[in-house]
Amino acid sequence: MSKLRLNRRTFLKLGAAATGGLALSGPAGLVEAQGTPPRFLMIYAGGGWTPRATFMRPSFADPSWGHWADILRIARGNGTPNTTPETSEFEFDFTDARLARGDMSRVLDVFWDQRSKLLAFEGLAMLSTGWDQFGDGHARNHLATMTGGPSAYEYDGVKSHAAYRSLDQVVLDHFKQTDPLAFSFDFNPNVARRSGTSGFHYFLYANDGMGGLARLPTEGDPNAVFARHFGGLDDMTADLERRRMAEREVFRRLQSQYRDLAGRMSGFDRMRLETHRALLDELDQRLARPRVACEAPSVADVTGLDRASAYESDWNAFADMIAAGFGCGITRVASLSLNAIPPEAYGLAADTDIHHDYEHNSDPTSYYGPEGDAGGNVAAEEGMIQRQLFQARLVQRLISRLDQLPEADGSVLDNTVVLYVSELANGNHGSEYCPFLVFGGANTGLRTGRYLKYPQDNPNPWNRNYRNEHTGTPHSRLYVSLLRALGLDIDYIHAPSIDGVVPHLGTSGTIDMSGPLARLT
Amino acid sequence: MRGLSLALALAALAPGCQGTLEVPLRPGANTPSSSTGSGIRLTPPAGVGERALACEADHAPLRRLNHAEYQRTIRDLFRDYTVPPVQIAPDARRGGFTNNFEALNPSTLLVTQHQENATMLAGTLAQPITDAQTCGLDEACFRQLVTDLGARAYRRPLTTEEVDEYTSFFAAGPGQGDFAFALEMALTTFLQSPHFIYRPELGAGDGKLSQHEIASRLSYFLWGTMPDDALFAAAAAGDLRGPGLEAEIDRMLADGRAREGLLTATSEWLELDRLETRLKGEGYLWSPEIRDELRESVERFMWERVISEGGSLEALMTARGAYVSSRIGPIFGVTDAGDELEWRELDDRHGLLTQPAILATHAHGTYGSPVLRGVFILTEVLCDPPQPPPPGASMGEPPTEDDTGSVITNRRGYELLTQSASGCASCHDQINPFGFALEGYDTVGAVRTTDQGQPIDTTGSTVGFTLGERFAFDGAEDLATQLGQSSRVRACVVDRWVRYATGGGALAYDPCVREEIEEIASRPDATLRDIVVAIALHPKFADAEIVE
Repeated sequence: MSKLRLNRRTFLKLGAAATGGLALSGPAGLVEAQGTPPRFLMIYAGGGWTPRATFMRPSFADPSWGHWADILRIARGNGTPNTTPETSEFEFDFTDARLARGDMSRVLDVFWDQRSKLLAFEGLAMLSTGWDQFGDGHARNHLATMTGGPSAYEYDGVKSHAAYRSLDQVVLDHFKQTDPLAFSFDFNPNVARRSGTSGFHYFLYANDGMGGLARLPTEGDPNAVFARHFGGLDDMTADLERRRMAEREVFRRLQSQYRDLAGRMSGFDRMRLETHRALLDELDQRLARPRVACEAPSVADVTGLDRASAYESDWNAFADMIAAGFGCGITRVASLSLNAIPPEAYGLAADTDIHHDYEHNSDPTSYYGPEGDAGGNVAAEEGMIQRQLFQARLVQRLISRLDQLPEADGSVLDNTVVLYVSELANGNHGSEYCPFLVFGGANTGLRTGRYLKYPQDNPNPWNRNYRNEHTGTPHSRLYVSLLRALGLDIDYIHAPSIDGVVPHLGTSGTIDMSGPLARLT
Repeated sequence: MRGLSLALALAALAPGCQGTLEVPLRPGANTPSSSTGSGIRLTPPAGVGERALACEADHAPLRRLNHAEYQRTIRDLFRDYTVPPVQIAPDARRGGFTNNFEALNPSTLLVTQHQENATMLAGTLAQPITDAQTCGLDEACFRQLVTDLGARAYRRPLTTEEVDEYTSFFAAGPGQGDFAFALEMALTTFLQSPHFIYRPELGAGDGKLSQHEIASRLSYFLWGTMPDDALFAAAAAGDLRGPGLEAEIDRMLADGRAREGLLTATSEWLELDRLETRLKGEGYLWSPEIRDELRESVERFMWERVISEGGSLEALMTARGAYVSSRIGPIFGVTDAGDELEWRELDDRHGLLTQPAILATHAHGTYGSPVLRGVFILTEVLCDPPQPPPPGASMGEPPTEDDTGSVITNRRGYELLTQSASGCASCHDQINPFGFALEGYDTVGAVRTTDQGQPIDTTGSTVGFTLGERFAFDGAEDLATQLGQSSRVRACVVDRWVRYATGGGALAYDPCVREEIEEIASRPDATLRDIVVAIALHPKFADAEIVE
């Protein structure tokens, strides 16, 4: 992969040749005199985190903070039944002069150079999974991760369909209020370069135009994306204006066809055609806008590369196009999947069944000692750690790119909120004590550069396999905070509170789900 | 849990919530349900099939061409030309199949890909098509060309207004007088038209499907692609009814496209694509080539032993044998197989469930999974799916030793993993026994006689979740024999094929239609072909009323 070749001049250079002589204003998202509009990037992985490689206590930690492993074991409740809430709240700055490199957890250490732009969270729980009635453990946690809430209904046995849009689409719809043609980059690197969905459970959800939600397909071939958004500016022909006219004419006729046919349909069929027509209209207008002469590194030819190298090459190509797309104002919303990494990329055999043999055998509950020392299936946990470190290095490269792109008020990263999540707290369907990482967004009001611990003082909504009466702070509050930072006026994701009988306690409980996460701004 | 669920439901339905991201549940989420005589539950999705549940004619939803249909239709539409590959995002499976209308929503990416493909194909094909014309490349020639091409793209004759509209690309505007350029514009439009991308059924004006709409129903059901010239001709002649319809279905099933289309449906039904992601440990005969050949072996089994003429539904569960080649022979214990797959009678293979592709799909790297195999039988063979595992369910490996440190069998490991004390038994007592019957096959589907040096216990007994009949068996053969005779299994086959044929439309939820087809399926010598033909011939499929 060639070095990223982005600079301010190429970002702002409008492709006059590509406009066919049209004098149009620049696209939305270009740096504005009154500050740069915020952007959102969601990076999501499947299979869970490895708590031991993620959480940390610096050498200057106060004893009252407690050890994360102790709290985690209590949170999971597989030890002695616990009825006392764990209330410690603390934070420390990643830029604290006392912080040594050796203090960092293995995963967070990858982001040492970007630590001033990092927010790391300990003690959050995906509480919505506790009352989500549908799907298996992956489905519930995945939807909680992507949407902040529970699912709407179940289908095909273990799968479930979202009740809420995925966070990226919530942000996109908000941005579309001021730029109706806004769209998102939704990328899913995989060695087969297949476009499509991100796997068995891993989906993005958007409004389907019919009162429900539709799963969004993702793109797997970086060449297609490159050709669409970054290529072709040198291929202008004298025939261009005529072709532009022809393109407009075709769209006009298609609009008419969809409108006419929709008029002969009813119910969902009509709405589906009207949705299609609206999408065509958006595409028409988008193609009619002047192309930005936006330069991204060309996509490397992966022919002959082994699977690991090909995956990394494609992931980086997608990442570079996100960076370029953000910098040029092509898009302000993107999602990037980490779900299809070949096991050999992180040192396991190519035929490893990572899901069953590693994820499901790396449950921290049964073997973390009080100091976080490992026991039990160490090999399974280490395999998970190596995967997470590989993921983190890919993410770090992208974060670094975003931070290297200057803008009037800092860097692209300073105007971009990056949420990095995995669907599970750990490899065994865990929903509590989930790590979440956020990068950037300093200009959105987020106070970055900190590690934040939240208490375990909410009633535990899970009714199986948990002997602890309390659990963590709703992760949906983090999402509320991020959405507010991005300009949404929002109090909660799905419900202001959960009231009812907490089943295994047999008592009434209330979980306050409203408002932002404390101490974030 | 109910208290919290109720609170959530009330919160979600509270009107006028401000500052939230409330998204209404799809209307009709609480639609009524029914069940067939065999006990298979029918719960139509919102707005679809309520009338069908009462055995009345109901609306067939608008369907978009799915990933495979789109690619094949483009191939067949331009059959005389070299068509470059097109990129189109695959569709998610819903109700078991990717042609289910519920999952066929448009999206920004899909609409963009349709546009890019249309532009690319039109740009590539307009000149060769122009060059192939023998007329004078004038307006009359252009008009005839778009009339012919349009009838194939729309899968029905164009109206005069539509022909005028497409002809105007040549008569005026950017394409005026430029045959190839005007054709490029017409092709770009055809390939994004709702009449191409979707399958609208507007009727013949008499409240019934038009003959061309019947032709499309048949071709996308039996072939997974557009009608051919003969089918178009039959539709134009009004022959798609009565004996003419039967003759056309026979012709279509004898065509090579039937194998392609119906095996796509079979593959989705049996989740054969999951085999692609299965990896096996060292010491097992496994590679991408072996995997592909096992898949081809089971596809041959389904096509030649079950679906084609001469096959039978009973063979689905009981056929003694498999398609074997020298490469995969060791898995079957066959040492003298040739290079090509050939049918071998084998005493230790008993129908679909003992085909290595199925066994290996529902197994882990080094050991078979009675849970995955049991869930597969309950879900896809008996249409009696278990509930998903609850939150926090431990999904680890089964122990290989007991408390005393003694090595235990895979079956015993699963028994310990899912024993009553862990709260899992209520479901696993119904799931695991089906899988235990298949313990005589290892992770790649090879026969084994011992496990950890101990005898293998393949006995089991279960009543499933809603079956109403007890299965008590000793081994794969005994289980397969009982399943082969089970009316529930046959009703489940009907369920899957009706779903596929209708793309999740109303017919899939009509208990009366199902009972008629189940009756055909219950005949001792019934074949899967009989079910396919019965669906295709059913008046509600091929002579359906249009209900708005």
